[in-house]
Amino acid sequence: MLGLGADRLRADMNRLLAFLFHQGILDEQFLQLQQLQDESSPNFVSEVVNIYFHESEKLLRNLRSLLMDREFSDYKKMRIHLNQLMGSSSSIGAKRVRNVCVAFRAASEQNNRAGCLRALEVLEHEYCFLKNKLHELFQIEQQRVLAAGVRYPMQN
Amino acid sequence: MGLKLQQSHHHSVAVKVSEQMGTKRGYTFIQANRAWLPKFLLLWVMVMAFMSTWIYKNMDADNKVRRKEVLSSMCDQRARMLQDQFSVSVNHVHALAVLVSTFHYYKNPSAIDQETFAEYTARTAFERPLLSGVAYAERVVHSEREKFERQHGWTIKTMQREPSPIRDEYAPVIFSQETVSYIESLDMMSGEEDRENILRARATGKAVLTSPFRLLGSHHLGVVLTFPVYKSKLPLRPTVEERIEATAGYLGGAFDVESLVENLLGQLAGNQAILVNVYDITNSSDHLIMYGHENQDGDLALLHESKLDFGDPFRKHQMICRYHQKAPTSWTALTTAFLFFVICLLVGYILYGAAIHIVKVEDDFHEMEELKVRAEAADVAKSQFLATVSHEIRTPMNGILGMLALLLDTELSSTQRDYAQTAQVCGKALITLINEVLDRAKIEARKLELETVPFDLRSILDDVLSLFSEKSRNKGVELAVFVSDKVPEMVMGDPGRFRQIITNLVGNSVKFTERGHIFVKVHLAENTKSMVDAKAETCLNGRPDENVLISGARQFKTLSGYEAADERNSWDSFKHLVADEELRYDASINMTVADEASRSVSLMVSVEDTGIGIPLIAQERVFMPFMQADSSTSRNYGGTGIGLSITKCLVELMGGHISFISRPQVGSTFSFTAVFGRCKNASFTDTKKSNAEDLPSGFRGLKAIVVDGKPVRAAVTRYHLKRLGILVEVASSIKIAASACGKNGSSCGSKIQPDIILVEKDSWLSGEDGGLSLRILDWKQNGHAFKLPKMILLATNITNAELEKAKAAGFADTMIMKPMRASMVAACLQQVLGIGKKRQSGTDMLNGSSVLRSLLFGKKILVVDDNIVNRRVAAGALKKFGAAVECAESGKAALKLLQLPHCFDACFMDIQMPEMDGFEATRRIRMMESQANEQMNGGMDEGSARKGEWHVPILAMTADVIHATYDECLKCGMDGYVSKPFEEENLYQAVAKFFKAKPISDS
Repeated sequence: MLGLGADRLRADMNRLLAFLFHQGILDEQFLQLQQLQDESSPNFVSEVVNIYFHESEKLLRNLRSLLMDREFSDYKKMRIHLNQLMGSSSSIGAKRVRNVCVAFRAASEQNNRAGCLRALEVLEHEYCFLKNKLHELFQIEQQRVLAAGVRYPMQN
Repeated sequence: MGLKLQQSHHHSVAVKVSEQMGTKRGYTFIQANRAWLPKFLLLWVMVMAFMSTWIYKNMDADNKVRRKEVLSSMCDQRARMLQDQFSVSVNHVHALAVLVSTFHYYKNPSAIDQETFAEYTARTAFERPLLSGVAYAERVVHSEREKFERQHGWTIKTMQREPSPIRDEYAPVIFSQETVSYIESLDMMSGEEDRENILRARATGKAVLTSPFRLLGSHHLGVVLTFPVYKSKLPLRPTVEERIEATAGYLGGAFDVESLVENLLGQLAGNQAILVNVYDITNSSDHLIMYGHENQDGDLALLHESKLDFGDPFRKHQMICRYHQKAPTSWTALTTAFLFFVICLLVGYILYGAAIHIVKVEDDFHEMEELKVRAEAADVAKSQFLATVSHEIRTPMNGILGMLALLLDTELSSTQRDYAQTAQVCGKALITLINEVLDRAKIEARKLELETVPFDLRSILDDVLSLFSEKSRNKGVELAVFVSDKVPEMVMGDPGRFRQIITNLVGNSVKFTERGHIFVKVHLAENTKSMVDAKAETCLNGRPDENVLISGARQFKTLSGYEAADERNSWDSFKHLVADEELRYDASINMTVADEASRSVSLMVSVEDTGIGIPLIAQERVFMPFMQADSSTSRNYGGTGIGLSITKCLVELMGGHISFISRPQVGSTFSFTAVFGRCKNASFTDTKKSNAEDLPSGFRGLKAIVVDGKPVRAAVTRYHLKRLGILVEVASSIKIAASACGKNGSSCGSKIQPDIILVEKDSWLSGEDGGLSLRILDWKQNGHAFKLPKMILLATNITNAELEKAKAAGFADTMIMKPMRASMVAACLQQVLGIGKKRQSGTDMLNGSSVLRSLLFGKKILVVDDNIVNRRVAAGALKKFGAAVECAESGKAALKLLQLPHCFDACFMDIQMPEMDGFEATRRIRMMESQANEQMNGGMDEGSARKGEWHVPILAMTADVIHATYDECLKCGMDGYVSKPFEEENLYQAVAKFFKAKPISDS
């Protein structure tokens, strides 16, 4: 029964992944990332993604404070942050976040404050969505590992 | 979204461009006043019309003046003549009066009677041409009437021929000229005009005239002239009364003015032209016409008045002349004016037309300019679009390829694997195509720059040929390369682009060739001339020995025996080249010194195939992008047709030019020249290690015999063997080779004792193989040979049966599959001869993560990236392949970690980093290394235990995969690059380059 549960969880996970791929939220880089996870580094993906969340939240905070500064928005700094965010996003395969970053960067290149603000909101929204979905994914993963973990001792 | 933004940006650029055009557009004077042009024309026409009317009027006025002058002169002339004639007559009448007074009154009795008077007047009538007749009337007062009537025997009658009523005075005509005899006895005083005339005449004593009236007896207008005749002599200054008292009678004459003037005018020329009227204007209000018609015709506009003085101060007369006809229109004036107008009109129209034309041409010009700018903008936009799109396509394509690679790693059924592999191949082809399009766009934008690094031309050619070896072998096409000895081993240039050109040309040839051969030949461009000379020579000699008929088929002395389009590569000319080289080869040691002087070397590369050739009509557009020979080509053979145009651009960038000779169904020969720099000796040794593949030197001094019936092919084989340092003899058949060997053997090796015999398959098959084996047996039996020469078979493709046969025939040793390349030959020879048993690492053949693992296992690798996520992912990926990874988060940290001596085997460096980017960090590391190297080389001898050189491999990690970035990477001393989301194959390619050389035992 628990084995069935693990299978179901795996199916759930795959469905969720398929959904994320279909929506263009993730791309194949995420799969690459998953490939890198093996026995020697069992939590590689969640580790990397957590680092990503940590970094991204910091960057988003910075971006927001930079944009909120009414008198003087430092677009150059903003671009550096955005490049960072873009780099890390493409590394974990967060495709939509990355795309929004591209648009954001384009807006900042034109010193388009309104565009930047809009892009920032979209970015935050995308980021939250991604975060929720990935958390969901990791939860299922954890449950699956647990289920699998429970199963193996039973068989042994 | 980024794309969209970019596009709008382009749009704004285009708008800006067009605005710029608008302001730049220059206006000329004509252009600025274009709206006024028709008005100018109209104004011109009007002005000219005025001018011509003015001219007409001027000329007409002249005419009129002249006409008037003529008229007045004519009129005056007539008036004067009339006057003269008149006064002559008057004078004569005067004389008559005197005659009458003298002979009628002073003589008593009278000496004149009617008869005398009549006769006299008749005989003197010529003197008075104007007078119709003269008559004398006596003054008779009433008291004397009876006496008078009695004396003459008739009564006084009035003009109406009635007996005169009683009056104070009478003036009956007593004498008359015969022409007017009808007026005898008529009382002149009874006529109104006559009476008045008489009264006036006797009062003044002068000739007086009546006003014109119709004369008696004729209906002509006339005037009557009356003279008084006095009885006694008058006192000086007589009073009127005295005159009246003294009056005895009156002499009168009738002027027939009409016929008078008629006669007069008849005498004058030109009387038809003018109309003459004579008036009595005594009564100024009522002009009485004396001559001419009252109804006024003729030219009323112009008339001339002349005064007439007929001697009667009381009467005034006038002559008025006018032209009969109206003034004729002056044709000359009219024509002149009209012609002037026409000419001016034409001139105006021509000017107008010219202006209109100028305007039109300028308009067209501006339009063209605008179109040109638009076209250029479109071109730029197209290039940008191409670049952008191909870049955008590449990103997902990388994803697809990555996924396919991953997919192929999983457990797949053979069908699935086949599908996936096909997809991967297609994807790779697509990436290649996109790269080509990018290249093309870059060339068009003139952004392509060639690098200048030393490279080994021969090894690149070997590489390219080995790329196509599989394909050509399957087709049974012989693929060969020959590089002239004079071509320097290392040249400066762009190896990537050179490889691209060769790959392109050879790829085309392979694609279109089904039989025969593909032959790449490189020599110095200077040699071409001698070859052409040689060719001319053979042409002059005729071609008796060019074609050798073998089994009914024409056999050509080319590489494979098939006919080639360009005969320059056939043996007849090729042998000149080889022979030439042979001669110079010995002298080359001396020559090199001279050669070094010139900095650049111009190479001539030709790629000859015996394929389907290019149709004649398509030959012109071969180098045009996207043009293939015909549309069916892409269906049959694939390809985009962009390759050759890129090749052409690249060749031109290399300072050469490309041309081809092609004959349909025979083959094509593409040849191009390219200019490369010569390498200095110093850098030569440095770079050789990194760039060129090392050929083992263990074969130097070996001797070989190549048995090949085809001299060109033999030359190619010899070239490859020569590169390994093997001395080569060529024999055209096995018999000759064997006899050579045998002879040598029997004469105890006075000449060469071959270590190897290479036999071409064709020669072996055509020659009797039995002979060879017999020979070999012969050698064995003789025992002359210390060791038997190794027998090697050369073949392009070989069937199993043939292989068996070959083994049986004595080629047990090995066989070398063509195309030959030096390293492969070396490997084979090593195997056969057992020299340098060290096995070449066979990693080329293997693939996949296991290889990568074996390469990276245990290696210490530094990953430099400011982005922690990226760092982590990269580290994870490398760790997966067994590498020990250390991370640095900035260029500076990396510098610290990379201090000498290096404890890392490699470094993966992100390019975009704050503070110090990857390029800068690499530059510093390289600087540090070179300093250390110099110090060490200076301080120690070259025989030190160290390798003598610090060089940590640095690989760039970058998200964009543009060539330019790659170039930049190489420029600052990096060894290669990997695209950032790691791709296994990409990683392998990058890593294999510098880990391969190291012995595997390390891992």
